[in-house]
Amino acid sequence: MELTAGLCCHELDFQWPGKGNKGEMVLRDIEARFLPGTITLVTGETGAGKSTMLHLLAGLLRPTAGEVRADGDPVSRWPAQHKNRWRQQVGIVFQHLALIPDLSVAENLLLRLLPCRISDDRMKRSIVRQLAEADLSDAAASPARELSGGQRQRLAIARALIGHPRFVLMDEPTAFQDDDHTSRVGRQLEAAAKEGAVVVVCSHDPRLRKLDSIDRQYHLAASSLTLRYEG
Amino acid sequence: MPGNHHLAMLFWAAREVLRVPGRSVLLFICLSSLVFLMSTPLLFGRALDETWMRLVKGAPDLVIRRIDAGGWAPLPSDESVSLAGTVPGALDPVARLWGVATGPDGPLTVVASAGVLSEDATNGIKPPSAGQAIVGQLIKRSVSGTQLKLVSRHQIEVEVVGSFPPDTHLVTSDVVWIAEEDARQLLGLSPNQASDIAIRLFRKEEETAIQKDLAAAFPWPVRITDRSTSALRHHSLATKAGGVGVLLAVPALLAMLFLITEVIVGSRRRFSFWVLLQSMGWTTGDLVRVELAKAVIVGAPAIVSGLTLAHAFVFSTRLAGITAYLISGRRKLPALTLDATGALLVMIYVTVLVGLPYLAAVFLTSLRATSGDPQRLIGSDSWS
Repeated sequence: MELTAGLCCHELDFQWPGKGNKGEMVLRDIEARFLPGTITLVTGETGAGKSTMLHLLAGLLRPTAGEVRADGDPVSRWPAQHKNRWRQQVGIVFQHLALIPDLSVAENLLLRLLPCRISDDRMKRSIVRQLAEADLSDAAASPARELSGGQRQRLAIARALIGHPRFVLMDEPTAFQDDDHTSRVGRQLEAAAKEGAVVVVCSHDPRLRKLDSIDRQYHLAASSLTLRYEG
Repeated sequence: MPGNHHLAMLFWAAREVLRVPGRSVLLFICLSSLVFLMSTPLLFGRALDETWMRLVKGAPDLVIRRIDAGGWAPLPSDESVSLAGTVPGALDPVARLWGVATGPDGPLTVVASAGVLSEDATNGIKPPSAGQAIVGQLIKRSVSGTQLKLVSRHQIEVEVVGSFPPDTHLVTSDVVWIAEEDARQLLGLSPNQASDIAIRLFRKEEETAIQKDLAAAFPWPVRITDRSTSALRHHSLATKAGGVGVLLAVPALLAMLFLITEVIVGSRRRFSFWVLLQSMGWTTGDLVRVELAKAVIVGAPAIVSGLTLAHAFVFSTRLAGITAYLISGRRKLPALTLDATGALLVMIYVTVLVGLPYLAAVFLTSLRATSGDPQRLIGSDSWS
């Protein structure tokens, strides 16, 4: 496999460890490229393995076979401590959001910036800007648990995008959004891609498929990933 | 900017402590109690040991008292001094006049001859005339007005005209210095009788050997007390007290281990939180540093407060009686002192004994939990 920019999956297999899975492969022989400056949409039915693939791309899971390369580096083979530092370049939105409910909205964003060794002023500026883009400026000091479902999801997106990550991975980012906010999320993804980020979105939201800015679309079914659309 | 990064992490650790105030307070109380339980007997033991060594520093090498079927008996002073002086190696025999009487707050020591008290205590003080008394600080506080009633063989009433200097509190706190004639009346001693004979030795090494010669020199039974035996008795008490500290330390340390296990390891939510932070680029080093900072933020004040409390319970006049009673079974003990080096050694010892295992437990558990792949927790937890 040639060295290339972006995220690449090569002959990627994944199977959950343990006896209860009866040997079923969640992902089999996945070949995909996610290029910098583009938005890639991965569709598939619930349970098809979209979230698992996203976790593999983020280095949170280790593939059973094959590898994930980030800008040519075999990150899936790296030891945990190297991967942790590399993940500072990854912004991820989990399907279940994984916010810290008792922390304030601003503190949830701060958590993403703390390990990045940047100045206090820069952290403050980034948080203020992201809150404005997520339409959450008024809720900055409120605990995350007091937000509505849509607001919580926008906070999770803001947390993924803050700090201009090189790799943006989102799992169902518009599930709780109305049309207006879905468009807003689309614009945020475009802005990230324009800055050169690799943007991968897993979703079966039909509104996202209609976005002009989607450069590629993959479909995940029966453990296999197939390319459906390339702009 | 690593300096700024560490500071930011430190602030975050403080924020984390505040996120779970109940658990932080519980940990604080447990650690503080543990330090208190361990350091109180240790401080008490060392202080008692050191205080006794100071007390006996200026004391005579040997003290001879006459005994009969009823216990202690007065001895003829001139004859006793003369007999003691015949024993080679026994120097400067002095007849002393003192005893125990009951004062307003219980037993106290009555002295009449300057030889019983150290020069430091009586320096610059005019000896009391008949009907007058010089009292220690403890008695001074318990006397209302200036009249002091003393009861022993007989009852007398004297006027308090002065007190011993506060810096001699260690040896004079429960002492009343009265005129010789008052003492004799109070203790029921005739003019030529003394309470005991104090002797200094030419060679300290003869302390044990000379006792036989001295006992043989007197025509009546005597009991001779040497300084080493007294010191050893008090040292045993101090050692016993220290031993109680060690005995307390074992279950206390076990309790702490359970506590750490519950707080650090037992929480699956904490694991999930760590995995979430790792997904956002937190390294194992970041997580371990924050956990250690949290441990220090709670642990350092807890250890300091435990040590402070222990210090108060050993050296504060009001509280030391409780400690003395609980540890040694004696309420009446002299005010304890311990020099700065001794106190520091005990504090360092306890800090190391509690602080290091605590930090090691936090370090090892957080390192173990955060150094692996997050994969093992992702599949089973609801956050992902």
